[in-house]
Amino acid sequence: MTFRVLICDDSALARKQMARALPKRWTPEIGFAEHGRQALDMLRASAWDVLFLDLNMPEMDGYSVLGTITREDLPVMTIVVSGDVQPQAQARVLKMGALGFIRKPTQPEQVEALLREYGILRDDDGEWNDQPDDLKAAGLPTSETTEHGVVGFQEFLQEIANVAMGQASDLMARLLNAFIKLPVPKVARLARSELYMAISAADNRAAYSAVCQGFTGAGVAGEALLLFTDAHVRDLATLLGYDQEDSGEVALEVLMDLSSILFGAFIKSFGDQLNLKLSLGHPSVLGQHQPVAALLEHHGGRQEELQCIEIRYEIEGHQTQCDLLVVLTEDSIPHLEQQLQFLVE
Amino acid sequence: MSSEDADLHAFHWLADMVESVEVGLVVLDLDYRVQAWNGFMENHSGLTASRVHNRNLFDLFPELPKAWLVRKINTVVTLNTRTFTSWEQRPWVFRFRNTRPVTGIEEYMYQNLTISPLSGPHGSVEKVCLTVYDVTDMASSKRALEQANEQLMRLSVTDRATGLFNRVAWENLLEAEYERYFRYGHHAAVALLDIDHFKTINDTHGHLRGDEVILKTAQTMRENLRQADRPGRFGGDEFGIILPETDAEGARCICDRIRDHLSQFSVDAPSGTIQITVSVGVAALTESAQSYQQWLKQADSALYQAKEAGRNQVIVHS
Repeated sequence: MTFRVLICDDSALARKQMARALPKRWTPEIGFAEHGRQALDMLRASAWDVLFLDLNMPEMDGYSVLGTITREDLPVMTIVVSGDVQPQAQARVLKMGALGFIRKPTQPEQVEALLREYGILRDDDGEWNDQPDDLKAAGLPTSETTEHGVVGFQEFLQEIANVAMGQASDLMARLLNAFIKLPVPKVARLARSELYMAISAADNRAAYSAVCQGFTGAGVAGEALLLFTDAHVRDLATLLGYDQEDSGEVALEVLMDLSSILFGAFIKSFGDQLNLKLSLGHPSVLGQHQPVAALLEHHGGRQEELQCIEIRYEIEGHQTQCDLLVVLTEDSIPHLEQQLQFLVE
Repeated sequence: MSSEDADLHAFHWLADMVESVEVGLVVLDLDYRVQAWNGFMENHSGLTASRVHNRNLFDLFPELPKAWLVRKINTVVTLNTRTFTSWEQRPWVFRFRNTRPVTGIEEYMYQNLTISPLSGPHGSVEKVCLTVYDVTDMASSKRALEQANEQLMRLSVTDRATGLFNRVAWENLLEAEYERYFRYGHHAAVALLDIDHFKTINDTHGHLRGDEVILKTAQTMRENLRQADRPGRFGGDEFGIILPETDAEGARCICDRIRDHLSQFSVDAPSGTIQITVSVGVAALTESAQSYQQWLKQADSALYQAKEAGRNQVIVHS
């Protein structure tokens, strides 16, 4: 009987990366699900041996899938594959019945080690054969093997951002001693003059403060921005323990502390995944106590199409959040597209 | 040259670079003892590298914000990540005197600071590097710009002589008030105030006394108005007042108080005592005003009636 592996991830790139990370000489039957609901339907319809499950997905996330598998007692070994590397996330999924946890970006060695650890893979396994792994690629749904046009590129960026976001939130969680709820990153192309629309859920009446930091390296350049509403700055100051201090500049301290670690970790992971070394400039305060539109106002006369990545970090149990916005210059896009070719070929 | 010699040379160049670069470089171990201290730090602190070596940074510089800096360094060490601070948080970390006798306008050097983790061969953080940037020029020009903008903003809306809003600014406020009325339906009134026989005062007693009367009028208006009221100088001896959240009767009452207070004052001049009286026209905003200009015209016609009826009185447009 053929071993059956189901890969569930909303990102086509991540599904592909996961399929490729399986041991080269192992050829189980591979199935794909684009979100939790689809995975559950497939698990109910027929028996699968292993499920590789992403956590942050639209429609139905990985936590809900795990819960349902336990409730319905579906016979599958689940291994969570996630960019959310907070120790708490790991502890939660193991408690919910996952067998193991693999950090994104998926490393073949780690996958093999885990498969061996649980006896899924043995040296005398009858399913080993010497066929090259492009057979696996043939099993991919056609939508992924089509041209890497705009859609493919956006998806690629979303997945890179997803992993970088996880790295950054891990540091933030440790700094704040709290669990950070991770969203699915939003990616969009916007004209410079429309940048204020990048913060999709911005409250038009609220006053915001923002810090920005430039980065550049190997043809890729951009700016990271962190935006907070003033009300949330006060909550974060309390979480950071600044409320005891006398300084009138607490808001600035919060902005600089959080932006330092979020920008640093995000940009490093973003660069690592693309094999780029990006250098960071000194951060500066973009403005305080202003509407989002004023902070992101179009200053220059140049018309430019920007690539934006928006991430809303929510701190569990504190109703506090901040928006990370990473904006890449138009000139960076061809370089990134080239990197994409390397990653998918 | 052997490769060993080449390495030695390269090391010297690197050391020279670190020594002479115009940013401060400090390496601390995890007990805050100084492990490296470059030329910039020597020159600005007056302490040589050999004197500070292996000594606790906070003992050397008791004025450092210890709790603040320790907290930042701890974050860098535990999370193995760089952190940045800006002069906007604290103008300076190391209190270095400004050294520019001619162009230096600030007392101390403004600083940005980067704290970076330095890992040992096993990958764990063993030391931290503080990079100190002199941003005095940037900070002082930014502050000068802010001050200039503030001053410009003030100047562009005020009447130089009286300190009240000038005509352009006042009319803008009037227009905004007009629009607010049609959006939210709150009451609003406008008053036009004119000093009686001002031309005669000027001709009889001279321009200096005339100016004194103008100032006295502006001062009396300010003293008798509420926080939200907006007095402006409309032209020579004519003033305007925007009275938000005020109906016709309320506006009449306030304006009459101003008129009454002014009539009790007099300005002494060699050519005789000058009695100040004013005439005021008030118009409450109603649907009948098609524009703010029309609203203003209603107040103006009430003012004309006040003049016609013998001056020193307040008339409400009806």
